[in-house]
Amino acid sequence: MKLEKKIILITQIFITLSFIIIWEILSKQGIINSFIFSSPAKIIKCLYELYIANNLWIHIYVTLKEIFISFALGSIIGFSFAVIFYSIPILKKIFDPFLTILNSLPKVSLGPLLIIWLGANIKSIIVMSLLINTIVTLISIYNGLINTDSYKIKLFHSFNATNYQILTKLIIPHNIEVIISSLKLNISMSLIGVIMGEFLVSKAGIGYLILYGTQVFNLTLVMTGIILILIISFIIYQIITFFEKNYNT
Amino acid sequence: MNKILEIKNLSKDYHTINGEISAIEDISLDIYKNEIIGIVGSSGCGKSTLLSILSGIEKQSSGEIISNNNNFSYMLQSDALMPWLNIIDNACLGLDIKHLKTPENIAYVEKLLSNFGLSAFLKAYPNNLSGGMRQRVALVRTLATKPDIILLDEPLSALDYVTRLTISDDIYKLIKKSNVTTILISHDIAECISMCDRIVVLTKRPGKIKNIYNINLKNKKTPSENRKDKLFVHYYDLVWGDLDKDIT
Ligand SMILES: Nc1ncnc2c1ncn2[C@@H]1O[C@H](COP(=O)(O)OP(=O)(O)OP(=O)(O)O)[C@@H](O)[C@H]1O
Ligand SMILES: [Mg+2]
Repeated sequence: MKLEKKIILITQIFITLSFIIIWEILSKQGIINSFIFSSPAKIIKCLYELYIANNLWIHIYVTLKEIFISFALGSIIGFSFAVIFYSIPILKKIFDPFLTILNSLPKVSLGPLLIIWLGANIKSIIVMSLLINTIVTLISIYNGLINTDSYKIKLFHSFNATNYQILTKLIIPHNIEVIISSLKLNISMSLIGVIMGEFLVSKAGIGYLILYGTQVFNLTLVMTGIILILIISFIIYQIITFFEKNYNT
Repeated sequence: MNKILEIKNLSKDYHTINGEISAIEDISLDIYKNEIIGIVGSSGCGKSTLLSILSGIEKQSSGEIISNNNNFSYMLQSDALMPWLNIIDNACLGLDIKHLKTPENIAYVEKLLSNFGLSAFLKAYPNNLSGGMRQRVALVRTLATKPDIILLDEPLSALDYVTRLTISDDIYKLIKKSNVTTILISHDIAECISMCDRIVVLTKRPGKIKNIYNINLKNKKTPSENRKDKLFVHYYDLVWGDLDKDIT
């Protein structure tokens, strides 16, 4: 590791630890109200209790499953529509204003409708998340596709390539970096969408933990949920970075 | 001489948001087997358009092209190498698309590459090659499908002067060895005269044929030798005199 990297990492760990320690001291000393602000010790205890009650993994599993499903569906749908719009420019022109409006609509406002249409179940959560991640994926991949080098497309045409060959042998490899970065964006959108969906309807999951904690005024539970989300998004980020590095070498 | 291709009254209009642009107008030209024919003309006069129509990428607005089932291969104005493919795969791209990537054809491509001194670079990637090497790979890719007619759009314009001279000799030898008919666009008159059997001068846009010259140098050798021919300057003056030089 280079010296600069070491300094950065050590400082980051230092900041995190000091934050936790100061937080703990402040609430132990009664300087901040530990009922409202909780404390690291309380959060760890809460995690432990969830674990003992055999609930911790269930909530994490439910949320991860929802994230994965909506990430996979969002990627496939977004990518397919990006390719369709790229192949048939008139469709893109027709749907452009609808996409813009839909994209700027706060999706959470559709929540109540989703519950009525789809029921208070995982379907509503997935659809909520799809509303958030699909359009973003579609737009970012589409913008990559239209920037494909026109000379290369001409070259393929000059060899009488089929559209399928142009897609698989030119467009996708040419845009692999754009596709990866839009998948990265998609996974954080999925996380946002799933938590939002769990706020609306859920019987399990981290969003449910947070919502339940709020209702019974157990703010330690709320904090625990937030910490869990942070940990999940950190791990997902690490996994993506790992794949990205392996792809680049 | 054997006619391989007949271009009759070819015209092309592009429809743009600013209205119609007539790129070429009423071009009629016979191409003979195994000749190298050069096309010169001021920038934007429709040279690339003509090749795009011949290669089938663009459709003409009127006129016709009579050829007896010839295979065309088009080398575009940019080398258009795929950065994610290594040199041998780049050179085999046309074969791959046409489902002709047989061991014999791959061996043929390897031979062409080694003719160009690229044997050591088969597994290298385009980013690690010099401009001259990239251009050679693009030419091998053009020849790999064993076309009857190759269309070369400014194959050397991206290169520095010394590289151009050496590569034009290389290309010339390879073309002559492969018995392929060549249509060559170049904005470099000297390069064109040194390589071509005939030269077509186009007017400014919309490109029409202004003149056609047969280049009869004493005894044709390599392009760099041809440049020393007594008649070279004579042809240079003729073509230069025909070109539209007003900068638009
Ligand atoms: N796809 C297109 N759509 C609209 N206009 C075009 C298109 N392609 C070319 N043109 C126009 O047609 C004219 C001829 O273009 P072309 O590329 O054939 O010229 P050229 O002789 O090859 O020029 P250069 O020497 O700069 O390469 C130009 O005015 C150009 O702007
Ligand atoms: Mg051109």
